[in-house]
Amino acid sequence: MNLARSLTLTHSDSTLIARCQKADIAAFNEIVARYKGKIFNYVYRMTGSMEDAEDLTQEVFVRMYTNIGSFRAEASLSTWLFRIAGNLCVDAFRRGKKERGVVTSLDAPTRGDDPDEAHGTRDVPDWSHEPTALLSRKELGAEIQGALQKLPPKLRSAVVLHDIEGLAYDEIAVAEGIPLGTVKSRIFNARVALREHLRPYLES
Amino acid sequence: MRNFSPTNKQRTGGAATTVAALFAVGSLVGAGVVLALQAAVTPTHAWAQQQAKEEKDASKEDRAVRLLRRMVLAEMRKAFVAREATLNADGRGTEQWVKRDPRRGIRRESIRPPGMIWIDNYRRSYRINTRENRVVESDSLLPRPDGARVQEFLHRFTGQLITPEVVGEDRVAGRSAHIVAVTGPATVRRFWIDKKTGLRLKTEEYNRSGKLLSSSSYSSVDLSPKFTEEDFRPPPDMRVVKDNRRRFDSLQAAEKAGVKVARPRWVPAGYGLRNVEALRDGRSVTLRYTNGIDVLSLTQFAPDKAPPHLRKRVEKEGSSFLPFPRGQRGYVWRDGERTFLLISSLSDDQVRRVAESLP
Amino acid sequence: MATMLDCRRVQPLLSEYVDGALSEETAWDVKMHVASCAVCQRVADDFAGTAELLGGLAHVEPSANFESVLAARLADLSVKPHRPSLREQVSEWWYARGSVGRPALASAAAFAFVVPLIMVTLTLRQGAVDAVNGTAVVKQSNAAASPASDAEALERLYDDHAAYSSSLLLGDSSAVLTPADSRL
Repeated sequence: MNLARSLTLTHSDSTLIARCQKADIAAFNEIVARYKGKIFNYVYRMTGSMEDAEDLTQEVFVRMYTNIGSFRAEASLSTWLFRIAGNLCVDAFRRGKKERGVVTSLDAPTRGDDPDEAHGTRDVPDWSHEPTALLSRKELGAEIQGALQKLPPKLRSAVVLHDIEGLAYDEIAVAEGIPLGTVKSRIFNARVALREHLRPYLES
Repeated sequence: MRNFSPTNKQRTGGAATTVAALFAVGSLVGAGVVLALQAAVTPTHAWAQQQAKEEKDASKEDRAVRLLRRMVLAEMRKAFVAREATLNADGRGTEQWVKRDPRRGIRRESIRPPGMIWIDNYRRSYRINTRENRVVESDSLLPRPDGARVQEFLHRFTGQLITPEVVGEDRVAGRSAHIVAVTGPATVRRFWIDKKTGLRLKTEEYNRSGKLLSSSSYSSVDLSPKFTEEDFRPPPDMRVVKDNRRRFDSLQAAEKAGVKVARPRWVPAGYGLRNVEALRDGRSVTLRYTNGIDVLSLTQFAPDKAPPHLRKRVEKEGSSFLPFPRGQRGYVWRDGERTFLLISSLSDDQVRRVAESLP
Repeated sequence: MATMLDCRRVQPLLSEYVDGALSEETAWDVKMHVASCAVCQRVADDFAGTAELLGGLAHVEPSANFESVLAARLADLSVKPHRPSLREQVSEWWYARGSVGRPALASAAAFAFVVPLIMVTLTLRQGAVDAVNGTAVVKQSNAAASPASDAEALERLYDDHAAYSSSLLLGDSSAVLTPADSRL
C-alpha cells in the first residue's frame, strides 16, 4: 500500500478541520473525499433525484467551506454535515421544486436516477428464496424509495439517517437539533408508515 | 395389550366386554367394572351408587397412574425417532427431531427454526447452539431407568399430590392413544399415551385458568431406528462453555461441601427439594423444588453478585415480577445484602409466601 | 417500568427494541412479551424488516466530476473560509431544522432541557452497547466460566430451570429447545 495514502487516511476529522480552518485546501479536499458519498446518499434518499442530490451535495460542501470557522472542534464533523444537508433539503422542499412526491413509476425510471440500475443485477441470489424474488433488486429499490418519498420529510430524514446512514439516536438528535424523544418517535412513526407501504416485501 | 388379571376375569366373566363398551374407556380394570356392574344390577340405594362412583373414580385414578408408569418406562426402554411439532401459546410453531436410545441417551434437535440441539447421554448434558458454534456442557439430567428417581416414581407415585385422570382416547400420528390429564397446583398437563407401546405421542400444558401454554405432538414415529454414537455426542470443533456449577442431591450434601444457603420455611404442598446447584465462583446458589410436574427454582445471589439487571430492577421497583418464557415468572427481591430470584408458575400469593418464609 | 408489559405498552417500544436502544430491564420485559405474543413479534419483525430493506438499498455515488464542479463553484464564490463572530457561531450551532437563520433553541430553558436529554441518551446507549458487547465477549472467550453479560446470565438461569423441568419424568421436554434467547 502506498505509504502517503495510508498516512492521509489516518488523519482524524479534527486534524483536517483544524487544517481546513487555516485555509488548507488539501485538507478540504480530503474531507470532501471522505464524506461526499455519505452525504450524497442521504440527500438522494431524501429527494429521490440524482440531479438534485448532486446539486445539494455540492451546496453542502460550499456551506461547509464558507462556515468552517464556526465549526466547534468537539462536535462531530459528519453530524454537522448531515445537519447542513438536512437543512438544505428542507429549504429545497419548501421552495417546492425539489419535492418529487411519488416518482417511482416502474414504467419510466428516470435515466441515471436509479442507483440500482448501475448494479444491473436481476439475479441477486440473496433474494432468491424471498417473495421479493418476484421483483428484481432494481424494482425493489424503486419500491422502497417510493415508500420513503411518501413519508413526511422529518420522518424520512430520521429513518434514513438511522437505517441507511447508520447514525445512532443521539447523533440524529444532534444532527437534527431535536430532543432524543422526538428522534425515537419519528423513527417509530416512519417505520409504522413504511410497514404499511412495504407490506408485500415484509412477508416471512 | 390387555390389563385384566386372571382374578378379574374370573370375577367379571363374560360381562367384561359389555361393561367395557358401556364405559367406553378402553381396557377397564377389575374393581371398577365389578362395582359398576353391581350398581347397574341393583340400582337401589343412593349410598350404594355413591360408593360405586367413588370406587369407580379410585379405579380410574389407579388406571391413570398405571398408564403414566407405563409411559415413563416405555420412554426409557424403547428406541425411537419421532418428528415432533410444538405449538406455543402465541400460535408460533416449532419442529424438532426426538431420538431416543435406551442405552445411549436422548437427542432433541430443532428443525424449524434450526440451530438448537440438546443431547443428554446419561453422563453429560449438552445444550448446543449450532449458529454460534457453542455448546454449554453440564451434568446429565436424564433419569436412569434403574436410578432412584425412577424407582421412587414407579413404586411410590400414587397420584396423591398431583391428580392423574384418564380423560379419553384419541389418534395421534396414525396411532391410537389414551389421554391422561395430570393436574398440579399450577399446571395441568395432558399426555397422549400410545396404546401399543406406551410411548407418549403428545403433551399439552395448560395453566390453571385453562390457557394452553404449549402443545407438542409427534407427527411420525419410527420404532426401529438406527443410531450411531455421534447422535449422542456434541459435534466436534465446537467451543465448549464449561459447566461452572456443582450439583448436590440434598441440602445436607451441599452444606457438607461448604455451600451456604438459606432455605425457605414454606413451599406449596407437594413440592420437595430435589437439587442444589452452586456456582463454583460462589456467585449464586439455586435450590430446585418440584412436585413432579412443576419446578420452582430459587436462586440466591451473594452480596453484589446479582446480575446488574436484577439489582437495578429491585432498586427501582422494589420486589417485583419479571417475565420468562412459557408462562413462567420470575420474582426478584432483596433482603439486606442478599438478592433472590424465584422462577416458577406459582400464584402471586404463593410466591410472596415463599419469599417471606426465608430466614 | 412495571413488570408484565401488555401490547399497548410494548408496541411504542418496539422500534427502539429492534435497534437495541432500550435499557436492559426494559429490553428484557419487551423480549419476553414478544416471545409470547405473536402480534408484537410480527410488528417487531416488520420493523426490523423495514430497517433491513432500507439498509439493503444500493449505495449511490456522486458523479465522477463532482470535485471539479465543486472546485468551480468555490472559485466562483471567491470566498475564503472565514472565522465568524461569536453570535454567528452560537446561531449556527443552535440553528434548528426548518427555521432558517433563527436560533430556535436559544433560551436557557431549552438548553437546560436538551443537554440532560442527550446525557441520558448516552447513558442508555452505553447500557445497550454493554449488553451487545456482553454477547460478543462470550463469543470470543473459550470456556467462559461465568456468563459475561447480564441478559445472558438471566437467560442461563431460565435455561437451567427449563432444562430441569424437561428432565422430569412427567416433564415436557420440548421446553428445553425453547430457551429464553432462542427468539433473537
